[in-house]
Amino acid sequence: MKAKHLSDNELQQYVADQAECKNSVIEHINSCESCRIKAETYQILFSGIQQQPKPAFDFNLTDLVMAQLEQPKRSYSTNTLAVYLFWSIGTTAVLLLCFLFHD
Amino acid sequence: MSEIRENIQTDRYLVGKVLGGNTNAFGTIIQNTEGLVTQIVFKKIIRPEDRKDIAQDIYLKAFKNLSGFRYQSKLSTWIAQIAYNTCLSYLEKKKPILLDAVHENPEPDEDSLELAGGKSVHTLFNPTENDIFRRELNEILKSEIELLSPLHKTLITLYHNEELSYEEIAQITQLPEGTVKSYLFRARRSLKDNLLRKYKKDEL
Repeated sequence: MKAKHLSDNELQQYVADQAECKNSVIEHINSCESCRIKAETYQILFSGIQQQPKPAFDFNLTDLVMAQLEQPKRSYSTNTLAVYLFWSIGTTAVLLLCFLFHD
Repeated sequence: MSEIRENIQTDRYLVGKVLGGNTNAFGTIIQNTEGLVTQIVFKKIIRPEDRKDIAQDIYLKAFKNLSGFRYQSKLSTWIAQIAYNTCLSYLEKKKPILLDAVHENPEPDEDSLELAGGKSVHTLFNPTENDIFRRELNEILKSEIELLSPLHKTLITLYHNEELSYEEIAQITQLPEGTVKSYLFRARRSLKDNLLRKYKKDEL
């Protein structure tokens, strides 16, 4: 067991992550009231910090940023272009045939 | 470990979509990282009116440089790093105005840390008073955190509220991990001393 009282860093380390502490530190805390009280104070501090409300912007950040981004240009794949081309040619051919043979 | 893998997969998916032309996927990236970025901006930037421009600037930079993201960290860490640097550049430009507003607490005297009779703060109260004590403590703590330097405030928030590792904090702030740990110890100690001093004063 550590005979000297624990340093501030050791106390914080104990409260932050007991698993990473040396056995001598844990044994000392268990048997030294003064250090245990100091560790409890840190425990209160740690949980107090965690309970602090999270800040938030009073505007919609996503909307503001998205409005400034360049929207991607619409690009067509080769297949889509081919479909449009055949569809146009087909329609034109049907109309032409109707016009030539309507009598 | 599986959480890290999941993060990387989500990051790859979203970044891939944005780079493939689906700008809307960037909206999801903003929503996923806004909490962390907000914490950094609030802790580093004192003037509320400047936060709006800075927050937008951070994400516009992230969008512009997204193709340079190499998956060496989580996407949120990378964006947090941009946030941190953007705040630092802003503070650098505004240095003469803001320097006076930054308040560093003096290192306290070791003998002044204990309450009378060596009691811890919470042993002064009975269980029924505990709720009131906690509420009061949170209020005092809030103002004491505000009095820390922007760097200490940011480190405390990233570690305790955002639950980031020392390694992630070191990546965001570009400080060595040892320095992050040492600043965190100092910040917590300063907070603890100020709280005790406050309670001690009230007790007298």
